[in-house]
Amino acid sequence: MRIEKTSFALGENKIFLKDKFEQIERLTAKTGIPAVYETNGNAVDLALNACEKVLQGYDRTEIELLILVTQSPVDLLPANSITLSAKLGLNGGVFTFDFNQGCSGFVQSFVVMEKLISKYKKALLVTSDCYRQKLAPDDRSTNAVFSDGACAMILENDDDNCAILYDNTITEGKFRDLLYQSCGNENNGKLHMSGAEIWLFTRKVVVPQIQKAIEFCEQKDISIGGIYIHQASKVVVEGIKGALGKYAPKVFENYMHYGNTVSSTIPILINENPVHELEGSAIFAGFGVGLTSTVVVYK
Amino acid sequence: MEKEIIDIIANALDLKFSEISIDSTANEIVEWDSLGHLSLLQQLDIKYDDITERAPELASASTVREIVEAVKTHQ
Repeated sequence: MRIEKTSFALGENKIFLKDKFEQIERLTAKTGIPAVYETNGNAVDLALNACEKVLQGYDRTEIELLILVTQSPVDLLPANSITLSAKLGLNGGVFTFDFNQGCSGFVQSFVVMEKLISKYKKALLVTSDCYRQKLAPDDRSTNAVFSDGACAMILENDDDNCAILYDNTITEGKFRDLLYQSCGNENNGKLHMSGAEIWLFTRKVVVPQIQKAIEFCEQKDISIGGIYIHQASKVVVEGIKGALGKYAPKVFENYMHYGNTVSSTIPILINENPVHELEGSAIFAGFGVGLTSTVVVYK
Repeated sequence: MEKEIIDIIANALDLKFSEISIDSTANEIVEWDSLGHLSLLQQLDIKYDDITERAPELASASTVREIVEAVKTHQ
């Protein structure tokens, strides 16, 4: 499965945190995020924007599969991917579904997509989240990291010239309370994030998981060209980098430019650092709400 | 040791030593938010050799007293 092309879109309002919150410097020093992006629209609008960019010059009628990764649904039904497919003018035979995952959503759907690409040949993998609508106005910690954004990726079957060589997923539903938004009144329907405990999860679970992927590569004599990890914030990215030893320079970063766009951080990194330009394979590591974490090695 | 830990907490939250005590709680201190707590854990790890590995309860502690007791137990 080859990554043919990617494009992304951000919320149209750039918010400098120093303009919104008093004494925010302490927080931004930890997050490394001076500004975030917020949309007046919704996740389907953002997805549409990213898709229109990526489909420029591409015959969209050839798209046979569309996955929309989002935890910011506009409709409970029909599936938001169906609405998106109509807005894009995809052909009526397209197979679509929504994928309800957050920061691990891109990597998990990438794994699913690879299983389906031999049948559907040309596919669109779209991530889109508008977490800012979920935030309590007085919750400085979440307001200081999350951005609204979307990314669209065209994937094509290439008979396994490019392929996932390794994948590993961890699902720890017992940690649901660390990061959630309830359909009911829990936390007044707003997003709750226990940042410290999630950080501990990244140290105890995600770092060893990435290290195992690296060990796999070393054992198979696979060179690692780049490591794409979820851009949660500076403190998380730097913490993971610090545990990867000689591979730390391989880790790409862009949280300082866009904030935490949830499901879109990794595909945006790929947009800026194309996998096909790497000298070696790529490692993708998505982790977060669930808590869940998925790591793949992709060549 | 209690003073040492309170000093670390104060530094992590950008507070003066005098602004925090053994009886302080997260609910009373605006700086003790999600990311403030994260900073606190990092400082404790630096000082006490990755103590959060041995004392995961530090991640959910919400009072200075809980932190002091956890550090004393696991350091």
